[in-house]
Amino acid sequence: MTDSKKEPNFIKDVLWKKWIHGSYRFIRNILIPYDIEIEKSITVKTPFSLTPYITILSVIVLLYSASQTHFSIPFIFERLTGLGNTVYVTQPPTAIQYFILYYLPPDWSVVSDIANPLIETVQMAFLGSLIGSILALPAAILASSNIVKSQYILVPVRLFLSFLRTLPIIIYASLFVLMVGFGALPGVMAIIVFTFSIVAKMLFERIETVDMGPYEAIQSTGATKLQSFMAAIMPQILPNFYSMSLYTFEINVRYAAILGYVGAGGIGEYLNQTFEVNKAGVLPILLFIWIIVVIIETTSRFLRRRFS
Amino acid sequence: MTKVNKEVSNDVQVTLDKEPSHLLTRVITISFLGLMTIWGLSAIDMKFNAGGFQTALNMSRYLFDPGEYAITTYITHAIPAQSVPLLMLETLMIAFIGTVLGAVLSIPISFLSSKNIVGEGKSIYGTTVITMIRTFPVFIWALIFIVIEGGALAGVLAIGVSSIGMISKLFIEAIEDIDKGILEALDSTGATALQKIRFGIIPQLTVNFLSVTIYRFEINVKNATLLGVVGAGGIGFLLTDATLNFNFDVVAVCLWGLIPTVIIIDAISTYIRNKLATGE
Repeated sequence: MTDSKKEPNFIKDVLWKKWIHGSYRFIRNILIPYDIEIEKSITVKTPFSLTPYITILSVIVLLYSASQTHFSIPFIFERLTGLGNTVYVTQPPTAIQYFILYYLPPDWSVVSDIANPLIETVQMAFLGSLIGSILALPAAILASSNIVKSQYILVPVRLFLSFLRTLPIIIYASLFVLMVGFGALPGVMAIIVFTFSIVAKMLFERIETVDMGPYEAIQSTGATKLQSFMAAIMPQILPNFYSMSLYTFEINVRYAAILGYVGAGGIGEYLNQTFEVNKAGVLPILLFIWIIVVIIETTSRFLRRRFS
Repeated sequence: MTKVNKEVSNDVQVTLDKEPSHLLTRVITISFLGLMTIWGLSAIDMKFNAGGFQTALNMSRYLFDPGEYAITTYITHAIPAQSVPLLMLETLMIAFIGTVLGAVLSIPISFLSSKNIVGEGKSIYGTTVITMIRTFPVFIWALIFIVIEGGALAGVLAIGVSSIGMISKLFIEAIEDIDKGILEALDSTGATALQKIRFGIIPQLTVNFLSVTIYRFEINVKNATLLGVVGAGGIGFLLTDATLNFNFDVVAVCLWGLIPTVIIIDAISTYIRNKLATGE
């Protein structure tokens, strides 16, 4: 009878049954879950879940993307510090050495030159946001399903808006540069299109959640649709409209700073030149762009809090 | 009858008169906006290029028919650096890995700046850092990270770091909404700290975290097309370079790659987020 309590066979019991078969069952249970046996002859079917497959797929895509974009933490560490396994014929400067060599000390003499492009950047962003937001108002009304009942107007307007939103602002800028030539004008036009597409979308989503009671009440007194819209819905959406426009203005200041790369005015052009010729001037420019962004964001956030 | 009506209309008149006058605010606002507009217009050199309209027509013609040369050079027989499908793929990969990087970095940052985890006082340090990161535009990060390595890697790092701002802000909201009752219930069953995290905290956060990350991915795809302009990988460089050299056929081919991709990503992202919001 002592045979039943014999020593477990390492290969058969531990290695095979416990480790290999056990881990097989563990993985299999994640991918195709086993039925759970509560009592004898009572089993519960586990619901099938896609989550593990999606996770595995994402990890594979992630690893592939990492290899394609050369993203690896050891590599970044090596580029930063120069400690690594890669064998070079001549050791290139590490990122930190390169940074100190070219970017430092900051060349503050560029400051006198960037005042005008910086102001131009803000002007472009302001003008574009203002015109774009004003244009967005009628478009948003045409795209909201509780005001306009006709599908023949709603669908094309919405499709047009979502088409406008697909292209990044820099592409609009470069297309407008081709049409009207270099300068601030194509930049402003690009910002107008961008602002228009975003504000119109946010605004029609807001209009659709509006309280329709006053609108119908005013219409029942014999007012036209336009009159009742102005009297009943405008007061409800105007605070949101102001805060959306300000929010877009904040975004636009950042984008306007880069539009110069394609010749559409603003600080970007100067930044590009400085980056090519005199890298020591890059950090001061970035600092000043940042300061402008912070100032505008703080002001805009203060105003937006007043509106809500 | 008429007397009553008169009283009512008087009441309306009185109420209307009580309404504070917004005239001054309006005058100030409108004149301020008007002055700003005039000031803004001063930056614009209003010279209309007569050929502009013709250029636009040309461009739209190429958009539908880029021609044999562009298709063979940039799609079917392209070298890797010029191939639109490969560059689009690179753009997507930069956005994807950058978003994951940003989300992973955001998790500790947002836990360390949530009021219900570290307390009101200490959360300010974290939120200050997040606000600082948020104010830098993506391309500034790209220009900084180009020092490490030009091309896609700089793009990934820029997208990742610039995502931290928005992702952490939304993560913090999710963390501060955690239902502490569940944790107490788990406590009463005798769960360990790890079990509390696994069954009490993670299930509450996953949906929100995923939804935020997917939303940010959608934004990052658009940002990644912008990065090529400063030399940080993706399709942006080819596209803007072609535009400035008047190669409309190449522009058209690039847009063929770009527009459908962005539309599809937007649709998928909206679909998944709706499903997550309604509870799958």
